[in-house]
Amino acid sequence: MKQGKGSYLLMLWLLIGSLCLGVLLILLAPRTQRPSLTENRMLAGAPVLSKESLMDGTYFTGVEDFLSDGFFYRDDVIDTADRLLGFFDTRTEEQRLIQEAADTDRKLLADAGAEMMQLETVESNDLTAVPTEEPTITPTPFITAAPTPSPTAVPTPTVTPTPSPTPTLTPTPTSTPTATPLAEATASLTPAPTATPEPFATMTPAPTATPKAIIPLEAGSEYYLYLNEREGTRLEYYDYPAENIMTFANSLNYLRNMLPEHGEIHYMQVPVAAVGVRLCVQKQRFSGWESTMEDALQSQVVNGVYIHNAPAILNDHLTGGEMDLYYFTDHHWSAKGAWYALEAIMESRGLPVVGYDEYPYQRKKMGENDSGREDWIEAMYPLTPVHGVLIRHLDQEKESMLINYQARNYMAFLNGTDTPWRRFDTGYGTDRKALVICDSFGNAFVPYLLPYYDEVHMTDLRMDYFDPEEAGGTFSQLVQYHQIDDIYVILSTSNGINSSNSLSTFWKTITE
Amino acid sequence: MVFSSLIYLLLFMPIVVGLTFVSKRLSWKNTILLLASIVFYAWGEPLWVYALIGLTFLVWLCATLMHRSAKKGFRVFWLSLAVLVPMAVLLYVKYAGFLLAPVLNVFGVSLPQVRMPLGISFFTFQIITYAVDVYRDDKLYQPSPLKLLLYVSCFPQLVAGPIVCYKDISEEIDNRRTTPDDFVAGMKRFICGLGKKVLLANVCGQVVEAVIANQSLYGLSVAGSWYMAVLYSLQIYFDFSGYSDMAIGLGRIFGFHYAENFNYPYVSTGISEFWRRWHISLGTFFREYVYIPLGGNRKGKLRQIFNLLVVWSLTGLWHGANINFVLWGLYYFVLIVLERFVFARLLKVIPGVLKGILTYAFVLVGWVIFYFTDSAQLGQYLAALFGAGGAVPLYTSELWMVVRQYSFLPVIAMLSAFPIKNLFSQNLQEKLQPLATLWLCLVFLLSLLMVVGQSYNPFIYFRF
Repeated sequence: MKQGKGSYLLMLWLLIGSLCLGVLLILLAPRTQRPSLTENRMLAGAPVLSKESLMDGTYFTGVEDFLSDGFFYRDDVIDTADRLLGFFDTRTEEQRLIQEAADTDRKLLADAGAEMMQLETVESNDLTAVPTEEPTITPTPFITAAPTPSPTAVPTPTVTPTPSPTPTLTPTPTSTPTATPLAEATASLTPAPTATPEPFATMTPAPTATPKAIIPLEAGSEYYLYLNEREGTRLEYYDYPAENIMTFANSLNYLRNMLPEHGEIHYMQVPVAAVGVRLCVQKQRFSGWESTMEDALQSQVVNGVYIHNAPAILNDHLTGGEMDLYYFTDHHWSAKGAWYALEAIMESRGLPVVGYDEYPYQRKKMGENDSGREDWIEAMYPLTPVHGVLIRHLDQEKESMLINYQARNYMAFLNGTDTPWRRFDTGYGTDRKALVICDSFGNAFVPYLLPYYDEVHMTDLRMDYFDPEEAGGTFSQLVQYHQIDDIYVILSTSNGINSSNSLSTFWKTITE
Repeated sequence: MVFSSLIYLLLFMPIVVGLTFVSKRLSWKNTILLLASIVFYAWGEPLWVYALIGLTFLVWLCATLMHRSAKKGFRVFWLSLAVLVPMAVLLYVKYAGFLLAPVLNVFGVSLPQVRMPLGISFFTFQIITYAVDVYRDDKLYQPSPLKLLLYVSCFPQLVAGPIVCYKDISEEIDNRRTTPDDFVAGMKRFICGLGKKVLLANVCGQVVEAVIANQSLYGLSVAGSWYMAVLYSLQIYFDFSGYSDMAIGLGRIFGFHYAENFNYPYVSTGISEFWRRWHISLGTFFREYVYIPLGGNRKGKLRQIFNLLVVWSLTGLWHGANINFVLWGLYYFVLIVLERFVFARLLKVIPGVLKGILTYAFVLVGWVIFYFTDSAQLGQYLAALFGAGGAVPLYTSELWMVVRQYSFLPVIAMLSAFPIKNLFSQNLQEKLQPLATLWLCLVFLLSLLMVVGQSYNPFIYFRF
């Protein structure tokens, strides 16, 4: 043999090894869809074999996605590949952060654009299949129904917390969910869930919602997240068109109408780490950040909907030298960042707050970036025995973790996102129930919310995450069924006001 | 199916190679290879696989009738049918929109949208070479339609070449041996190609896509435009030559010996030489089946220039139904005419290194034309390349960050595009064989690692 027996055997075993790996992958890869925190998307499950999927080729692409997304230790493999490429990287830490921030923004915008196009296509296809008088499902902005004052005329809203029963932070040994039958719950739903969107001006408000004069924003005006530069100029980091703000306000108002009179909606949009860490790292350049979107959004929502300004809440802490509110090796905020957000929300409601350091913690090193900056996961121990369940089809319950103490990454919080619906029985006797609609940023937030509620429910309304069939009812039916009092919407900028998740999917899901 | 996908690397390839190796008889091997090829193509084109099979049988039928006809007129008729029908299909799915849509739009008529099937340009040309080869030499007639289908659909070269002429492979379809040496050499060649594609081409492609697609973000500068052109030239080279390596390697594993498709094109010291080293099988096809039948260089200078014009227009169009591909073909036509007929004497006195640099610079401009299907973007980029318009900076800080992000990776890629191994003596190369084999195993594992998370994984030449 010219090539040598060793080479022959090596190549032969390489081929045999590949086949074994392939067979194991087919047998052991997870067969159901599941969310990935690191990639911020749903990982593919096993594709369904049908004549249609074979003919249009989706079965074949589905198999490829299934193998790729189900690869053993996928996150570690991708991380290793990234590190290999990072070997060539000679940028300074500051350069890297700046570029990553820019790249993240670009990717998010591109993803949002693609999703929007996809949705629009689907919707326009749907429209061709129904009678022409059938309305579209895109929320109509207020602007069409009202005069257009200048943006300077928009009054700054005063966030006046609605008096709510002060929770007694007294742990109770058990909590008994008081569920009413679904049919009964849905029968009392007002307004009846409908896929027909209407401008708020014409939408019949629920008798429980307090009307409020909405002053429309000027069409075409923009609101920003600014990074304030020390030389006096402001870097326009994110821009929020008035139309997007009004569209999203429509959704929040609709959501408010699902709640009882004492119910509240709290919305917070949190900038991702790529932006947040710039305030810590580029202190010579930036003195802080500020966002004008929240005030604009507040002016568009009804009473009982409160918009919280995350940049304002975190600003002093970030510029004051607290480097641990965001991770440097992950795009999320940390437990401490989430706690600051909760503190601000609860103080605005006039409620007492359990201090961050009052919780015991398990600290684990999460990793370090190429410059040697370390990230630590601080996994809190709840003060009461908490019981979490993942709920499918209303009555199929499976244990769900509040904190995964084994995890060395952001998966520690709630063991990652899980769909379609989760409930945490908190062990507190407050006679109130909350629902948190969130992306992964809500995972670090929820553990600190527990003392205020008997039950904290969670769902994720991003594209593909919430399936009414799997959940056992539409979103509005479930809100009624679980007798939710308050709703918290916690989203990162990736899935916030400018994304298709908020502009289209969110509306579509809550109005189903 | 794509060679650089998990389904191929972990299941399809080991199973097919294993089955062909345990088969003792050539007929079994051919059957397995044929079935595997049909599955391979159907995986990506579940409907067009019927067209592939149908066209092959039609051409086989024409060739059979041609074979049985003694009169030249009949033979020409059957040849014409065998060439025109596949060409008509190709023209319709690939060029109808480009050629007819502007005219039909005037009358308010629109053509039904047909998605271009994978590799149609490649397999159409292969079918045509069979018909022409049989017309020229009756001994090449293949009595078995299944064997002809195996030649056309053979999965190693089905979707992105190299274009294999029937006369080069006919003997091996009926009579070939697969040896352990072929297996090892083929595997090595395959891994080499996989590494080119996944580790070099895809990474270069990520940078190119990120920066060129976001000119507003990174800003165009003179240095940046050239840097990106260089990266794109490396991407397209490693992408296509990587695929060719994989195809040649796989062919070798199954006992076929395909001709080389690339020969270090970026070391060329002239445009004609570049095209003798780049996509050799396409150049060979156009030379043997278009240029020479048109008269080649035997009918005077003017006729030769006309023949070159035809060949380069077709070369451009073959790459895609868009005006930029036509421009790209004509660009090379002009360069080759200038090189052969205007600057031939001058080029003889220019040092080889300078000629090499000049050739590469012209090739880079060619790749820019090739890349941009949007003429406004193309104009903007060409202006930046030459600093035209006045407002283009020499370089930008954003670009400098991109350069630092990948630092010497493009240098490694560039060095890999040169025949460095020839610097070592044959003796030393043989001594280093075991080390090279281990290195290739590492390349395979690294490629697998990258394939898992690489969302950017297209083969550029699939779209042709």
